[in-house]
Amino acid sequence: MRFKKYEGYLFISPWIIGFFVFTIAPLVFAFYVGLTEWDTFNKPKFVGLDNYAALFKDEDFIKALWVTVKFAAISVPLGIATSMLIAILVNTKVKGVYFFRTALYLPAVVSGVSISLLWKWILDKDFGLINLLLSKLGIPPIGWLTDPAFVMPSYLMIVIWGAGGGMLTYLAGLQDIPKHLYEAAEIDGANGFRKFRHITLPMLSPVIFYNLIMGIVGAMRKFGDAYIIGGAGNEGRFYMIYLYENAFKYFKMGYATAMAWILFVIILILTLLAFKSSSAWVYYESEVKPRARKGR
Amino acid sequence: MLLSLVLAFMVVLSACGGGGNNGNGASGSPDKPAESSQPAGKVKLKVATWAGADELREFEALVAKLNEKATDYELQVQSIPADYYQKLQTMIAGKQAPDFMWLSQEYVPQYASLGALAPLDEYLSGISSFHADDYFPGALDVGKFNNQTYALPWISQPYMLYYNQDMFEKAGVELPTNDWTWDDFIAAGQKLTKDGEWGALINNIPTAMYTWSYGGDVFDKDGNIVLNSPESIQGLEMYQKIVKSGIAPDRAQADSMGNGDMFKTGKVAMFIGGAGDDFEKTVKFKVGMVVPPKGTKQVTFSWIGVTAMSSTTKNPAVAAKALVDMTNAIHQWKVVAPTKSGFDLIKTSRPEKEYAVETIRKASEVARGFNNQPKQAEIDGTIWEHLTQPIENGVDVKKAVDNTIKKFQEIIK
Amino acid sequence: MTSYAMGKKQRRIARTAMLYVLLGLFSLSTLFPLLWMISTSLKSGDLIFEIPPRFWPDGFHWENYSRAVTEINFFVLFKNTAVITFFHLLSDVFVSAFVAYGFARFHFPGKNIWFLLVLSTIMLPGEVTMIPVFIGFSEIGWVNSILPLVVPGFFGGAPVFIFLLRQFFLSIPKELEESATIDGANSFTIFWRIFLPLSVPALITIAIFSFQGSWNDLLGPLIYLNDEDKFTLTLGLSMFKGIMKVEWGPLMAGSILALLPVLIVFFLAQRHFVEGVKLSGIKG
Repeated sequence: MRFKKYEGYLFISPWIIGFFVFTIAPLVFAFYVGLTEWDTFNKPKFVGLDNYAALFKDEDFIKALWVTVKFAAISVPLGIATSMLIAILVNTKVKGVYFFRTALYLPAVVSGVSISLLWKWILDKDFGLINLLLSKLGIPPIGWLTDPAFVMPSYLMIVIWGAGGGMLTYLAGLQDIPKHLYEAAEIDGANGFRKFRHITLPMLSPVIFYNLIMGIVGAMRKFGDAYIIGGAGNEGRFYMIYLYENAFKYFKMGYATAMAWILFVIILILTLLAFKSSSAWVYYESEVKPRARKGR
Repeated sequence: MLLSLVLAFMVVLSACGGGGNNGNGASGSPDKPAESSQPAGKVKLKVATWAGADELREFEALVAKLNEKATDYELQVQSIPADYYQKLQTMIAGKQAPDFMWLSQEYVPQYASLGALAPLDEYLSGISSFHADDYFPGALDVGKFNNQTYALPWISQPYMLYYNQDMFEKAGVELPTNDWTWDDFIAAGQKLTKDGEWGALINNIPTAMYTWSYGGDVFDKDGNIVLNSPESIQGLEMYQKIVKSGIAPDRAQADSMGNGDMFKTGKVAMFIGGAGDDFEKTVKFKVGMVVPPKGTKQVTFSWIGVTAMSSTTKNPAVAAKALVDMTNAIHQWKVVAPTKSGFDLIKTSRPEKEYAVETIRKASEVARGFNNQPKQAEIDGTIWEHLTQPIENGVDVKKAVDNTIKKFQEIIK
Repeated sequence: MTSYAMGKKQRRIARTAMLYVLLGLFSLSTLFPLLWMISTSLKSGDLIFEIPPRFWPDGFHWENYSRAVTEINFFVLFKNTAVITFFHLLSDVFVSAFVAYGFARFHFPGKNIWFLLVLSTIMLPGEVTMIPVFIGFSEIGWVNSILPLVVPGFFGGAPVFIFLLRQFFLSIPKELEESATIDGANSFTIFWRIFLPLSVPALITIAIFSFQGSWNDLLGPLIYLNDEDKFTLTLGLSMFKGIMKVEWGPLMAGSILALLPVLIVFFLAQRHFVEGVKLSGIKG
C-alpha cells in the first residue's frame, strides 16, 4: 500500500532525475544572475534588485512588453480558433484531403530566415504582393510594416497564415471522440452547431487547454520572424527581441536575465489563472464519475 | 501504427544516409579532434571564422599551406556558419574560446574592454614579417583600443560610389567624378529621379560618415563625444538635405528589396557600397565607380574585418607569429587588402575591377572605420533610433543630436 | 419524402464545394512560399526579389542543386542530422509518454508541485540559461559531441510533450484500467498495453513535432558542435548565408532537399488521422 502511494514517482522519475541533473543548477544560477551585472566574460557583480528597478524605468522595456502583451491577447484566441477550424475542415474524408493537410501544414515546415524575408517582401509597400493584389481592387497601397498602425495586423495575418501548423493536436484530439456520441446526438435530433457545442468542444477541451497554455508561452516568447521582419515605431520589437539584444549584443546578461524572470512570472500567473479556470471548462473523461457520464 | 512511422523514418534514414547505420550514434562520445598524427611540440591554434561554403574551403586551403611551412604552430579552422557572435560569446563564457577569431571592426573595443582579447604590441614589435607602415592607417586604427593593438585587419573594403552609366547618358547628366561634393551628388540625383526611378540609394552609408565629410565625428579618438561640434552638425544637416531632396527611395523600401538590388535592376542610378561588390559581373548595364562625394574633406567609410587573439591562448608569443603569418596570407587572398603591398592583388584576382584600381586605391587612402567604443552595439542602436531615423523623418538636427547625446551619456556613464 | 432527400443531397454537395473552395484558397497561400523556394532554387544570379516580381525562373539552373550537395558536405550532414533526430524521436515519444502517464494516472504527494515545475521549465526563456548550461556541458567534456543534444531528452527533456500527452491520457476513461487491474495487470502493462495503443494519434503528433523540431534545429547544434564533420544540415545550409553575400540559388536548392524528409514523414504520418476510426474504446 505504501508503495502504491508513491508509484507515480516511478513514472515521473526520469524527469525528476533530468531536472536535478540538467535543469536546476542553471535555474539557480540564472536566479542569481538576475541580481547581478554580468557581461558573461567576467565574474558577475552583485547589484541586488537594481536590474529590476531599472527595468521599470526603461521605456524600451515597457514598450516591448506592451507590444508583446497586445500581440498575445489577440493572437492566442485567433490562433486557437483558426487552427481548430482548419483541423475540423481536414478531418473529413473528401478526396485529396491528405494533400490539403500537407499543404496547410507547410508553414510549420518551411520557416526560418528566408521565409521571413519573403514576408517582408510580400508586405512591402511599393512592390509587395499584397498591395499588388489590393491595387487590382482599387485599394491604395498600405504601409504594412512602415505604418505603425499596420504592424500588428501584419503579424496577425502571419499568424492566420501559419495556423495550419497548429492543427495537428486538434486533429489528434478529434480522433479520440467516439463516433457513437455523434450518432446518439443525431438520434436526438441535434444539428451541426449543437453537436459542435456539446460534443466536439468539450471533448477537445483538454487539447484546447494545452494550446492555450502553449499559445501564451509562444506569443509571449515571440522571436523568430519578428527579428527579421521588424516594423515601424518599434511595433515589431517584441519582448524576446529586446531581451536578446541585451544578452547577446549589449553584454548585459544580468539585465536580460531579470527580464526573463519577469516574463516567467507573467506567464506563470497567466498559466495558474488558466488552470484555476480549467475546472469550469476543461472536460477530462477520466475525472468524470461513471454516473455523471451516463447523464451526458 | 507507431511501428510503421518508425519504419518510415528508418527508410528515409537509410535511403538518404548513404547506408547510414544507426550504430553511428555511438560515436557521439566526446571525441578529440583527429590530429594525433602531428608531431608533438607544435602549438595548436584554433581560428573561428564566419566563412562559409566555397570561402571556407579556400580559407582551409590557405591554412593548410601555412601549417606545412610552420615549424612551431598548427592552425585549425573552426567554422561558425550562423549566429556567429552568439556562439563566440558562449564559447568565451564557457572557457572554450578559440585562439583567434574573425571580428567585424565594431566588436574590437567591446571584446578588448571585457578582457577577451590579448594585447599584441609587445609581440608584434619582435616579428619581422609585421610591417605596421604597410597598412593603410584607417584600417589599422580599428584594431586599436586604448593605444594598444588588439587585432589585425585582413580586409578593408572602402565604400565607393557606383553609377549606372547608361542611366546617366540617357538622362544627359554628366558622369560623377572623384571630386564631387554632396551638392553635386544631389544635383545629379535630382535630374535622374523620375517616376519609379531614383537618383541614388544611400541607406548603406553609416550616418557617421556624413559627419566625417565635414571634419566632425560621433566620438573622437579619445572617446569624447563630438557629435554636437559644428562640423558634425554640418554633416548631419547635409544628410537631411539629401533625404529631403527626394533623390533616394525611402529606407524601408530599399531595405525590403535587398541590399543593392535596386541598383542592379536599374531602378537607381547611383549606389554607395563596398569596393568588392560584384556589380561589374552581374549587371547588364555599364558600371562606373568613383570615390564618394565630399563635404569639406574627402573621406569614406570602410568595411573592415580583423582577426583578434584570445587572451586565453596558451602560448601568446607563438600565437602572435601565427597571427601575422595568417593575416599576411589572407592579404594575398581577400580583396580589398588593407595594405599597400597587398592592394595590387585586386588587378589579378578581380580583373573586372581593373578599370577602377586607381580610384579604389585613392579611396583606400582616405578610408576609415568608426572610432568604436566599448559599448559600440548600444551606441549603434542609439544612433539608429535617436539620430538616423529622426533626421530622416525631418526632426531638427540639433534636437536629434541633443537627444542622442543624452542617451550616450546614460550608456557610457 | 423524396424532396427532403434531394434537398439533403444538394446541401451536401454545396457543403463539399464550399469546403473545397475554402481549403483550396487557404492551401494556395500556404503553398506559395514552397513554390517560391522552388522557383528561386532554379534561378541564376543572386537576385532574390526582382522588380517587378517574376515568378517563373529564367531557365532551369539545376547546377544550384549540385552546388548545394557538393559545396557543403551534404550527405555527411544528412547522416548526422538523421542520427540526432532518431534519438530525439525515440526519447520524445517514449520518455514523454512514460512521464506523462505518471502525471495523468497517479495520485501522489507533491504531484501538482512537480507538474508546475515541468511547466515552469517551458516558461523561462532558454536564452538566459544557455550559457550556464553550456558551461555545465563543457565542464563534463560533452561539448563537440551530440550528447548535450540528445541525452537530456531521455530524462524528460521535452516538457511540452509531457504536457500534451498528459492531456490526452486524462481523456482516457478510468474503467479501462480498472478492469485491467482486476485482471491482475500492473501499471507497466497498463501503460504499454492500453495507454500507448490508445494514444496513437497523440504519439504521432509528438513524433511529427519531434522529427521536425530536431531536423530543423539550428541553435543547439550550432552551440554544441565544433567540427565540420559533425555538423547538421541546418548548419551546412547556413554556410550559403554569408555575412557579405547570400547565395540564394544553392541555399534554396539545399533547403528543399532538406525539407523533403520532413514532408514525407508528415505525409505518411498524417494518414493515420482518419475520421471516425477510433482504435478501440468503450461503447457507452
